[in-house]
Amino acid sequence: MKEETYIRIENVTKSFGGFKAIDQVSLDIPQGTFTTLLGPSGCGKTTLLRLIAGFYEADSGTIWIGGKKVNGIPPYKRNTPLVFQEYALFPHMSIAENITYGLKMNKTPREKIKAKLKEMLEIFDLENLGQRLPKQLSGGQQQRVAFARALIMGQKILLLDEPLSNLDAKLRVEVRNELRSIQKRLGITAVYVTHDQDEALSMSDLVAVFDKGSIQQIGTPREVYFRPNSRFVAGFVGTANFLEGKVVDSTAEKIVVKYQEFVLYLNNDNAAQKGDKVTLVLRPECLSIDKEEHSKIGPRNTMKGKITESSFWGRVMRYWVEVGNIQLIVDDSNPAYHGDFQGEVQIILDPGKIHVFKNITLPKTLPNDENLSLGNYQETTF
Amino acid sequence: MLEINRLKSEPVLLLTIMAALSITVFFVVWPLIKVITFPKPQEYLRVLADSIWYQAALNSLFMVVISTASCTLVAFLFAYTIVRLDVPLKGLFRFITLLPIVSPPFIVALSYILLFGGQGLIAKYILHITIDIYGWRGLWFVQTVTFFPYAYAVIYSTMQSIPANLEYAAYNLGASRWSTFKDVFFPLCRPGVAGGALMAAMNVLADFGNPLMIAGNFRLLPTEAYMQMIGVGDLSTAAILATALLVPALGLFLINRYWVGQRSYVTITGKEISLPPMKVLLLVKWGLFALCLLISIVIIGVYGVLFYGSFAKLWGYDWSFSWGNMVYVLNKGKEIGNSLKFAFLSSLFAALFALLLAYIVQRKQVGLNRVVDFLAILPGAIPGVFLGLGFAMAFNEKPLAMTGTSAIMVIALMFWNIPTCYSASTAGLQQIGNSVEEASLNLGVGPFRTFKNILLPLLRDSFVSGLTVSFLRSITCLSVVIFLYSAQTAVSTISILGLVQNGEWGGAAAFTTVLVSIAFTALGVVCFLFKKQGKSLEI
Repeated sequence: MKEETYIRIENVTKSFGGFKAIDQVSLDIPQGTFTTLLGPSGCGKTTLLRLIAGFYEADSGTIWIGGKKVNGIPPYKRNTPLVFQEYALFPHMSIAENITYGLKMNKTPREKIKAKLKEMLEIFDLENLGQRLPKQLSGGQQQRVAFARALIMGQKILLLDEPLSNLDAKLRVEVRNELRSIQKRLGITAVYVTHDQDEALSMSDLVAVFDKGSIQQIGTPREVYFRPNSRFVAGFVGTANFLEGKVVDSTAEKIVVKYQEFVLYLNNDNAAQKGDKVTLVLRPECLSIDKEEHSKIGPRNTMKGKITESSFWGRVMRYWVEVGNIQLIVDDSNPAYHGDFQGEVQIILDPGKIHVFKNITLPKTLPNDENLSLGNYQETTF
Repeated sequence: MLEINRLKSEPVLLLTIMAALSITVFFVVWPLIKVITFPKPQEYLRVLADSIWYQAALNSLFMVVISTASCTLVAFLFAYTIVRLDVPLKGLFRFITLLPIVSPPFIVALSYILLFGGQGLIAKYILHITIDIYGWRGLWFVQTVTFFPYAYAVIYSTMQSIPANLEYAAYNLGASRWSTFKDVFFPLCRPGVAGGALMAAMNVLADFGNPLMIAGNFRLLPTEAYMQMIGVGDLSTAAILATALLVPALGLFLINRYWVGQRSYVTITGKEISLPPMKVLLLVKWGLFALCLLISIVIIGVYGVLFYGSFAKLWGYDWSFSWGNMVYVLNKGKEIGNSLKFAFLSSLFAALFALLLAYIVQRKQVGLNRVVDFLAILPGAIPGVFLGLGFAMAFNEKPLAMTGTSAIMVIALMFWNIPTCYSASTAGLQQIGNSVEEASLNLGVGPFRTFKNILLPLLRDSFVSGLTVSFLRSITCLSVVIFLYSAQTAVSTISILGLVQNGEWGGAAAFTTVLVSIAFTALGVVCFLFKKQGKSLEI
């Protein structure tokens, strides 16, 4: 991917009172991509979006849109249509009036407005609702009006502030796909704010993971999921087990990591060297589980443990397995009506799916080597 | 620093804020200063040492205590019955709680005289007794009936926001009816009860019309201030008494504002499922119903007797039907015209100016906001008597001499009504999320057109409701205007007072009936227009 940068954020800082909402953030958003700002609430992702839209002015740093510096330009001159989390439809205007408001105000000829309105109503399946008031529509319909009102402006950019958070789970998945295909078709540069990792991974070309006002990692969905650069990213994007071990042997391709009594043979993605302390990120679905006596692979890359708890989720069966003095989360993605695992089991690690990073970015707040009783960091998933 | 930079880039906003602030200071703060500083310090000492005035202050305090207590109790009973009980005639009860608010402040006193006075319908012709109705007992009754609706409005809105689910939760945990009421329901009502009591207390303290008519020799601060100025011409004593009234009034106001007044505007999401309230004991239910009914009948009696008096030939002597009083009133077209004109202009200006102030405070985050906010609500703390006196003293000389003009009447009533309109506009603005405006800006529409296209239409309802309440208050106002009117600018309430003082009950009753009819017509029209759009008027 070698697209041209359309939105460039350069060392932007924004404080509210004494609170730094955005701290020295830089981000290049390529033209025509779908970029997601992902992070927990209060991490600064919405602030950055509002800085782009001009509702806030940066304290320092520069924002460029389409090669033009936009600092100091008021929101109504920025041409950055935004879809609000709570839709912000004008309650006293009909759906048609809502959608065409921006065009009417910039004196677009009436015929053109009419044609564009028709097109929008069609795209968003609102054909017979033009004369209704927002409150007469369902949440999903209101959401589509909000999209239409922003898209009708015909700008090359679309900002979205958690637009799906007020929809129910099923509808959210549908709108997600719809939105992505519209964005691709129109070639719009979309900046999407969400705290929902599923949304971020499924829709984006690029994900920027935020925490405490800074970007922790920028990458494709696969990169941030399989190659997280920190515990925070690994834990926030999906569920992860962490093991902290020591490299006892290494080559350019392979490393051997010792963790407690277990010896693991892994790929060397991060140029780890003998003696390095490393953190292993084990996704629950990248581990497999088997009865102890069925073990075929032998001792290599297996760990013995005992199931302490399990939970049936439909498409997966989740197990909590005690291994040494920590607990690992393991998902069996092929559960059956009968035959849950119980008691003593062994866990098999697939070296190709285990991510290793060196312990340099370890935040202070996380447990160190001695007290690893809580070996995983879990955020809501599924 | 940032703020000043921001305002520099918005010179129109800066100028508007400065202008609004100066106008408010000039018409609110300046009269205050004028009254307080008019008497010399030694005059303060002389007046405060005089036992007559000391007694008047004590009497005022006494009335505040007993009338507030009775108002709050009646208000609580009404609110509980209307919010929580499944009884008939609720519509009537609601209407009853609205009546005194839209009526002239002395209406209950006037009916009370018509019923129990020397020529009273009940005293003279039914019970055949002569009682001295002038004094604190009569005033207590009259103030309770007049001011309980103010307490009711606050208690009602608090009570209504308490979900019955909380009580079900208490029952579910094994609590009895009484302990649920005592431990769950009442504590949740307490802010409303406190706020309602303060509303009643402020009104009782500043009450002018009722004591003037029936307090007799029972001296109170507002009436004495008036007597000193108009009767004796002693401006210093009047100013001191008014100031003595202002101090507790401000105190009550500040308590209300910063202690119990921190109400949150909860928007109804429609998601929460609220269960119907649990049924109470039959005895309690019908006992409360009977009480409310009794009070309602008394209040209907108050208005009924006025109506009757308007068409009786000579009250107390000849009860036969006559148009005489009505004809007399309609000949007083000038006063009625003045009332309408001043009330309309003052409420319109108040609503417009208050909208501007509310917009500045709610939407433009500048540090002057707290000052603007305080000044906008301050007139609500100032008793009408004080405001009237203040305008009379401050604007009878340069730089702005307006004594006896229509302008002074309109401006005084306008500022008297600013808090009402300001609260309405503020509540309206708070209900419109910032993002609605931002959405308009985001679509390329500048701030001015956004204000015009988005905010103004959405604020129309709160604007009209503020305007309506102000109109009703202005047309029935006595305390402010009594210090300011001239022969050319006399209004209906002044004429009614004159008729009462001359013992012309029939004329007074007829005049009041006409005034109340105008008020109700205005209210009816607005309610009708709201209803047509499927909304209800919030008063």
